[in-house]
Amino acid sequence: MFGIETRNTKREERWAGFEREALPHMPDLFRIAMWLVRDRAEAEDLVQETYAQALASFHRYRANTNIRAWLMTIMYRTRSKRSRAAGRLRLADDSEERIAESVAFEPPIAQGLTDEEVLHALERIPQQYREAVVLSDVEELSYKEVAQVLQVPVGTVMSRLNRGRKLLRAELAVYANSYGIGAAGRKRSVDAD
Amino acid sequence: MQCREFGEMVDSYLKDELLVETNHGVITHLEACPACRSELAARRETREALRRAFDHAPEFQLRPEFAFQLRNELKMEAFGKRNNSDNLFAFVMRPQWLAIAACLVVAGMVGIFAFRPQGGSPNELARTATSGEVRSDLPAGELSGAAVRLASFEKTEAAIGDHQNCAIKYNLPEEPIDLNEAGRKYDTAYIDLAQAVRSGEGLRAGDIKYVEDHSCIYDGRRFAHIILEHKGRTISLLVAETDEDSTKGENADVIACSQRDGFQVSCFGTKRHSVFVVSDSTEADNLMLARRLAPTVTKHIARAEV
Repeated sequence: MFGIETRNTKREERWAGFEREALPHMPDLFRIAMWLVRDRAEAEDLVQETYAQALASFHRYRANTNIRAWLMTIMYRTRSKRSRAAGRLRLADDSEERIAESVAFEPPIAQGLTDEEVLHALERIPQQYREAVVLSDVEELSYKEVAQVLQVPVGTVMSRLNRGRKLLRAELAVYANSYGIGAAGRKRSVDAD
Repeated sequence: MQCREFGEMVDSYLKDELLVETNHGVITHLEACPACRSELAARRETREALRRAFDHAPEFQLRPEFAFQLRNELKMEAFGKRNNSDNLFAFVMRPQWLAIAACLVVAGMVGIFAFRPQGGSPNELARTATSGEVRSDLPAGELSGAAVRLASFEKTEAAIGDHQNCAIKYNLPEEPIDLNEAGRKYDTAYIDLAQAVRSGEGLRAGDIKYVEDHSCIYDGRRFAHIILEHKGRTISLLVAETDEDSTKGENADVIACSQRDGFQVSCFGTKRHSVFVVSDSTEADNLMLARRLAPTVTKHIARAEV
């Protein structure tokens, strides 16, 4: 009888911890899932599988560490497994590195652009760079956490971030230039009105 | 500090992760180096643009129905109450979920256009003195005391915050509790409130659908929270006890009292409660919804206040 009570208490404690620590990150996980797979049903499926796995291995989560990074890691691994199963895994190639090296510095211009344009610009940079940029700049993960999620060394993360940001700025500049500096300014003032 | 060192630390500086001394070194360097100042501004601007884009994109928003359903499935899993492990993965593929998702995506796309500044007649958009964003559909100067009480900036802000963080993002620090339980513990007006709304006039036409109810806390304020759906949009009906009694009793007027970040708030009230209807519908739609819900809600709460 005491054994059943202890088991129930443990389950309750485990659930309470999981609910308090892990569930509040569902919106963040979903938006990254949606961004990765571009299909709502598939993204929800991915989030669901991620949480199911996280619940099953919640005893391995170390308290006071970044649970969002832990959940992201599970999600990325789940997705990799699925992609491999579907034969969709895309490996990075050297040409992407060469593209990044050849990009010149562009001045900041993101202010006058719409959210849609920013997302389109992000889409135009190679996947390995944009993943690092999104995990660091949108999800605010540290270099070490990004490395853990992407399963690459920290040095690689730093290099991808550096190149990814250059590429992104270059893409943003393309959109801004299509307005022209004056036009961008006018657009901002019209929006403000 | 050299520019190279600054470049290595700029991320940590932006995330506020540096020690005080190192932070001071960065600031000193920035004061003397226009190139690094420019780099910092560019980095900050790009980060903000990216975050804004991710936060605003309708297709990246989590469906509250999915969040609640997943939570329940996980809870059952945690307590070993599920019979079939495939259940967890099966429900998202149900046709009704997919249909709702499709509606929400379409509604979200429409929402982008709805968020754009809209005009309105002076009578409809008369501003109150309470705040630049808080307003009423009553002509200025004709607002009753109860209307001003309802339209207070803090309360409407809390209502919008609760709608965003509870109904839309499921991101509250404290877990919501059962509404009837909250009624027994904190406010008798909450008892059977959801049942009254579900069987009331407002939902009879069938176009407003009940989704969920509970009691949650946002910004220190406890709400009865009934989540509804209208034309694929999530609607929050929020009831909060007021800090002071209204000497005028219930406020029969349903007013459009605030808007922010694309969310509309309509309000009405009773002697001791403020009621908010929050959604990302147009102002006219949101006001119409509030007016349809008001008679049932007001009657139910007023009975509890006696």
